[in-house]
Amino acid sequence: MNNRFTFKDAVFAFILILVLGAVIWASAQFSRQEHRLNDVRTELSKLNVLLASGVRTYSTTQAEGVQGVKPVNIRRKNEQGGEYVFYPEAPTTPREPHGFPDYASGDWIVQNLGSEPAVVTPYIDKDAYGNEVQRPVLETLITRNPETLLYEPYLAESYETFPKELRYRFVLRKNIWFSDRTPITADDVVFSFTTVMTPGIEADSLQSYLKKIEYVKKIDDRTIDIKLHEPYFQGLEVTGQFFEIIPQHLYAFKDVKEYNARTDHLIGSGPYLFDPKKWEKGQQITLVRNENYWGTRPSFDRIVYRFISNSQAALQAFQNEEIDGVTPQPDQFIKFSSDPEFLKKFKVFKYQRPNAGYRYIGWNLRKPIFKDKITRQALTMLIDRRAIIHTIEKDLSSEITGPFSPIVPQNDKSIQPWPYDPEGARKKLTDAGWKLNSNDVLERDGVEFRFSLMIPAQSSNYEQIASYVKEQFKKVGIDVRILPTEFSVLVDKLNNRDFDASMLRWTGSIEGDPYQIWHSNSAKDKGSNAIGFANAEADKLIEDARKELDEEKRMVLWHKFHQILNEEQPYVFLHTSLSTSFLNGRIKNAEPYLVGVNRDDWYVPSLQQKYR
Amino acid sequence: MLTYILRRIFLMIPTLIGMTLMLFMVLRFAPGVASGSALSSGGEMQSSEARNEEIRRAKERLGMVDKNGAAIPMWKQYFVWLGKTVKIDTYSVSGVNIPGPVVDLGTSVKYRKPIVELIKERLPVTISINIIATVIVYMIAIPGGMLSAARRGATFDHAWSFFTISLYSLPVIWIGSMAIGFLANRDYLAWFPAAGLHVTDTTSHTFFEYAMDYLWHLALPILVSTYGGFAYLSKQMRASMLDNLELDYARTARAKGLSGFVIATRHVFRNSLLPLITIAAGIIPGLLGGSVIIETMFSIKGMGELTYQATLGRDLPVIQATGLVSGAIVLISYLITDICYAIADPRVSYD
Amino acid sequence: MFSGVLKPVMIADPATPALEPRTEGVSFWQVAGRAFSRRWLNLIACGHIACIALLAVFVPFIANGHPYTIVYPTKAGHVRHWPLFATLSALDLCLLVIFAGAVAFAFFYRRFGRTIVDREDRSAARCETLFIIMGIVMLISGALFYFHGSPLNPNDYRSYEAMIKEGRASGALFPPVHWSSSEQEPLIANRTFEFPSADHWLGTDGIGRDALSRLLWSTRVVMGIGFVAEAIVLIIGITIGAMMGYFASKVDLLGMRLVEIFEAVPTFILILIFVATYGRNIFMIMVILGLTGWTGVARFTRAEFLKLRKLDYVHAAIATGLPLRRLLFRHMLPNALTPIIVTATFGIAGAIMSESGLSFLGVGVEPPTPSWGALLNEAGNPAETFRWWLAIAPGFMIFLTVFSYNIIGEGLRDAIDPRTNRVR
Repeated sequence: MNNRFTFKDAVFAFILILVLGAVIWASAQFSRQEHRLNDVRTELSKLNVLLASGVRTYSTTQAEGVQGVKPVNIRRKNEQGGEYVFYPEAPTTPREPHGFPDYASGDWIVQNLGSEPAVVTPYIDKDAYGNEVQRPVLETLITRNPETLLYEPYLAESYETFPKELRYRFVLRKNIWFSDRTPITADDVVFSFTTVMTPGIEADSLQSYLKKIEYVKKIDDRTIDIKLHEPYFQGLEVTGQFFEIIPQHLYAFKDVKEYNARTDHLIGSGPYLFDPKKWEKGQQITLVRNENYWGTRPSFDRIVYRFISNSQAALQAFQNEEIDGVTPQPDQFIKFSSDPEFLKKFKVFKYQRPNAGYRYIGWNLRKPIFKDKITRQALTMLIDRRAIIHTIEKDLSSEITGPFSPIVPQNDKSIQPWPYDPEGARKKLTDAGWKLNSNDVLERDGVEFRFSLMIPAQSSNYEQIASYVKEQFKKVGIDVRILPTEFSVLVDKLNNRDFDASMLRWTGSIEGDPYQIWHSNSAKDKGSNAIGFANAEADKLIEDARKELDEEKRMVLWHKFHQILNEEQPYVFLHTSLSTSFLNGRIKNAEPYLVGVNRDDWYVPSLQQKYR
Repeated sequence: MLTYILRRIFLMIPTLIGMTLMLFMVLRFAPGVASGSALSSGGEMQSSEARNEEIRRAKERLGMVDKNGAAIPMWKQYFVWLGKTVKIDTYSVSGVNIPGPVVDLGTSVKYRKPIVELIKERLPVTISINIIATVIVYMIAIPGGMLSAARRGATFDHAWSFFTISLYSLPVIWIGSMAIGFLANRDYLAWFPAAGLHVTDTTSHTFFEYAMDYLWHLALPILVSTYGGFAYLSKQMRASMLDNLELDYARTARAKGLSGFVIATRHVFRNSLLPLITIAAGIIPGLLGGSVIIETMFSIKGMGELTYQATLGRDLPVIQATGLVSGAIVLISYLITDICYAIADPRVSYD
Repeated sequence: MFSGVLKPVMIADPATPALEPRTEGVSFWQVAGRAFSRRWLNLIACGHIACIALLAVFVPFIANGHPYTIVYPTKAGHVRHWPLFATLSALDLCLLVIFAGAVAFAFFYRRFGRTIVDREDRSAARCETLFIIMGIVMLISGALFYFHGSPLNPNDYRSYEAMIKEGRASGALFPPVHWSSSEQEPLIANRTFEFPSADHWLGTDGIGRDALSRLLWSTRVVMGIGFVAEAIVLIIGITIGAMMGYFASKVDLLGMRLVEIFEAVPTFILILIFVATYGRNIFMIMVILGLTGWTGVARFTRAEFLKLRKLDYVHAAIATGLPLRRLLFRHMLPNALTPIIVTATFGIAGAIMSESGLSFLGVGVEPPTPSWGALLNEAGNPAETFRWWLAIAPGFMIFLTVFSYNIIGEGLRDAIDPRTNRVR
């Protein structure tokens, strides 16, 4: 047959290719298994070494204190009107699980991150996902109690504020150490701060907050003084909670580039350990319990983060009990939260976080059509915000009247939301001087009421709300053009003030600082006050409130500020979203706090434990 | 022959340069700031100071401004970028240092990883899906085309052509949505998984389980990426069979009294396959492009999905890199098929 | 447009040597046309495209929230209004004018076929009328866009309904689908993603708009994308291809690099890059689809021109010293047209597929412009509940349209060259 290529040959070639492919694939797979076996072996040998060195393993809580005498927590005012807080005991969560009769440590918790984090190295993490992975590994000087929302010492055993000197003093606990058993000292705190503030470190948003700090000074091995440039109501948060403490001896770097280049360098003092080798790219990150942890021993042996971006796949994996927790899409939540079969096996949570952020439509106040507040009030009255919440948001949002979450004290509860009242709006528009012209469009001083509404591209949610707004406005004679804009272009246009109106969302915090968004100074250059809101009274209120360290007095100022915004309506404040989550039913003690669910509380009774 | 191959390779160089130039121009003249999705997370915005600093840094990293924030002229940017992308480095081969080109595609703004690494993760996925799809397409289209040619003008011929054209016209987005909606949905039939390449936990799987799981996950994506390919290929096969059947050697064979089947499979088949070699390269761009929709739809982390996410998040280095890499793949496959064709068909002239 | 200058085809096209040019009435195109119309499938496909085109022009009269006519009682007695006609937009009117122009041309085309005997004269007359009609159409359209303004129509079906109920109006006659593409059911009623009902024959979408109306209005996007994008493709492709084929050697070498550059980067990826960076309004998408899709046409034109330039009549034409433009486009192009038309037909199908893919991915035409791809996206997004009733119709429409173009292309190819053995 010499070299003739026939049909038979072709069939043969196909089969050959298939077999070849199968062989290559198989060998890849076997090497994968080999790889895993090796991992297990090294793990085992490590454990053996550990056991041989005689490391203690703790049974329940490590810090038992002296029998009989229970140390007392102190929280008192000092002579400067500041606060002295002293918590001698190792911190615990408000709903301590250790006392429950069926409490058992062990088992893993497998959670889903929507996407693989790019960076987990402290400070230079770029997304919420990296932050989530850091949380069990890194710790801060103080922390907010999820129940009372008060600050409590964490790595520090006490803190004291000196409002007159703008100084904050933290005293570290005695027996605390990083996961490699090196003690945490004041040097590490100073190092952590200097690291963040090193020029060139890619921690821009953190730096912009920490700029308010004048110095971080070591007083003695356990005592640190931090001083601010100017009085700031979030001073304690900035000084004590904004930067995590990292070990100097492991992070010391010569060149900024060197620090920026490492994306998986994550070592801290927290209850779990991160190991770059346990980061399987594209698959999962596994955090292992820190057996050397200085504080209360956490329940789970491991925390596993998987990266399933597709919400449907994530939910399927959740229902197959491959992952234990998932944040459902609104549709999924609606569908399953009322499904009795689902509820038998899983827990469903819906709660409002005070820091959820809010969605708004901002009018560019430089444009003559949006200049007067009567018009803006009318625009607000044309939009049925409750209907948006009900129909488009599936009741997974709640109404707001200003930039503050409805459940924080900053929010003035006495303010009634503007009603949905198209007739009233029509009257207001007439009052403001708008008249219908021959095109059936409102006109004032020869200017037709037409504008474009900029929304982020690729968001069906925004598109739906925008389409609704367009339709509503059309009915009174306002022509809206929807402009879905790619995000970087959108930022550019906001910066250059080159837009008519924009629908966006601001992130929130528990007590927000309105300066960046509402102060007239932020309207200059490329500040965040893109709409150009400038109100002298509001400016004064913001400035005063920022300096006012007394909470009650500050709240009065915030309420006044809130009232001004409500009257001016520079934004249509649409809604703040509710948080939802599904959790596997075997996890106990998992009721959400005000700020969200708290993993520290959770445990799995030994009979229901799934992983060993 | 050798000169032909050299000539082909030589001609690839201007194409590659042109491609880099085009990709560069398209992206650098684009409106908006050049920045990764670090700026955005679902329409939420960061504080402005941080944002502006981040934009400046992103621009600097992309070589659009220098350290002082002054703009760099466009042509300079291009050469700087090109110079960064292809470097001459020395390789040490058994103690001897040999200079050679190193391709450095830069770092992704979003993933903050070297793009070469990203592509190393993603490319095999896309290629394996496409190879499986291609093999299936060929396995069905070639016999189909042969039969059509053999039964030229008969019912089968018409029916097959009608059938394949209708398949070709079925929009991927429709079939994909329906497949996910009906076959991977708990409301209807949950026969297949809706997303991904594996169940989330494969650590305890044996090889066989792993393979079955993989195939189970790939079933729908492969279905969706194959059905459109039959029409073109079997049309070509049919045409080339018909051409060959009219040639003298086929007539001679028929005159010898050989049966139609024998002529088709033993004589004509080999020669008819030649044009299909060329087509193998021709369908690659389509498959790569199609993988954008398919991978996005089925949440498969391949090149297509990478490109899609990069364009959404305006991850300029990644967009440029994926454009370059897919372009290079296509060019190389053209080259290979041309060479194969030249080897296989002695009639090709090398001018 | 080229119908007047097709004579050389019969002599020159080597694929059809058997045709006799002198025989009156059996031109190459007529033969091809007969072969084409012999298959009923081709006719059905043409019929479908015609339907879509008609829909695109007349959709305001088929799916609209305004009634054709309504009577308002006033003090002076009953006044009859024609809201639907009063609220047509400039684009609606413009499309109508174009349609009228097309009808007029068809009329004259046939008429000249009967009245003018000499072929040369007849083609000249047809050409002339074509240009005159195009001129008039463009003038009127321009005037329309300039003077018509863009009125808002605050009323919609629900408000007319309310008026009738309250007795403020009567005698309304609504179009068959009495929803405009943007009218929403009151948001608070939460009539979203509704199953088909008597009110909404295909159900409603995510904010309570009528799916059928949106489906019908989408025909405009489809026809627009198909024709405009393909026109751009043809202009670029033919120009570059003709240059390459005619000059050959260095120009060809250079041109082929350009073609390769555009072919090497997978088209969809290229389109995605363009769309994501340069915005996504419908005209942009047309231009982008045009800019990225011309390579096939250029290749075919080049191949044909390479063949043609060796022919005697071209040498003769060159010898007479004709200007290049005339030589390329009046003398050579008509003979190269056949494969180009086939590619263009497939190109339209491809453009429609690309557009629907883009809209499906959420980077297509800007909202609230309806598009089949976007509708399809809405059916399965969010993915947890699959609304098949929303998916079937738009998907089927894309399929039918793309299928029709493919069938037409296929049929044309068979009709022009029955052996069908073109390999790229």
